[in-house]
Amino acid sequence: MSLSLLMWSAAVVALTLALFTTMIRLIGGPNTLDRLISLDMLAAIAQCGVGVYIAWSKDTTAAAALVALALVAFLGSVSVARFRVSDSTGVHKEALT
Amino acid sequence: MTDDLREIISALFVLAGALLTLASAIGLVRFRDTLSRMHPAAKPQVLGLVLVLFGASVRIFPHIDLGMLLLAGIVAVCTAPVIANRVGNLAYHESVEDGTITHEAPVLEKFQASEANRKNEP
Repeated sequence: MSLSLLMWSAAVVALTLALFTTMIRLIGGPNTLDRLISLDMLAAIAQCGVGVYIAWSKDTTAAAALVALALVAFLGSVSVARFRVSDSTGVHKEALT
Repeated sequence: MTDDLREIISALFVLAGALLTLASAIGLVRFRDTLSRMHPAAKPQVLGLVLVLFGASVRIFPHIDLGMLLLAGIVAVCTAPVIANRVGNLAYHESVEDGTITHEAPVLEKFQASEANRKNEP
């Protein structure tokens, strides 16, 4: 019983480290595509956190949030990749210079 | 199977999935360019999520919400290649336009030349 609690605590610590490590790339990514990948991974880490919560507490009310997070992350990533303006061309370059 | 043993197995799977997610996050920070960073965001991260969901499914096994976890896993496995394809396509074309990677045509010509040499040799 105590061993499994230790493992879940280690999983939460690993997920928190992964969260902050992903945020480094989210803040300092040189390209907007890097930030898009980081946001996608943030959504996946959030899903992993909900999964750890479900496994720890045997409380399955959060299981619908998993599917909602997956669908919202997919729609966001695909629409950003579809309607994105490139960094080197377009209006952003004129606005930056 | 006793309840304690099932809890230990579930915790093992959840811990493995969390460590895979941490490894993919480290790979996202340490890799060189966008095309390389796309790989840890696509493959080990999906495997980590599936492992975590499988661990949670083992824990709540006879419950009806098991189907919700299965649906989340199927959605993750089906949508990750689509996102990786779109982002990789964009990153490749922009890298070719910027000149950070070269187009594959010289490599293809070199490969065809080496193939022709290899056929002419014997």
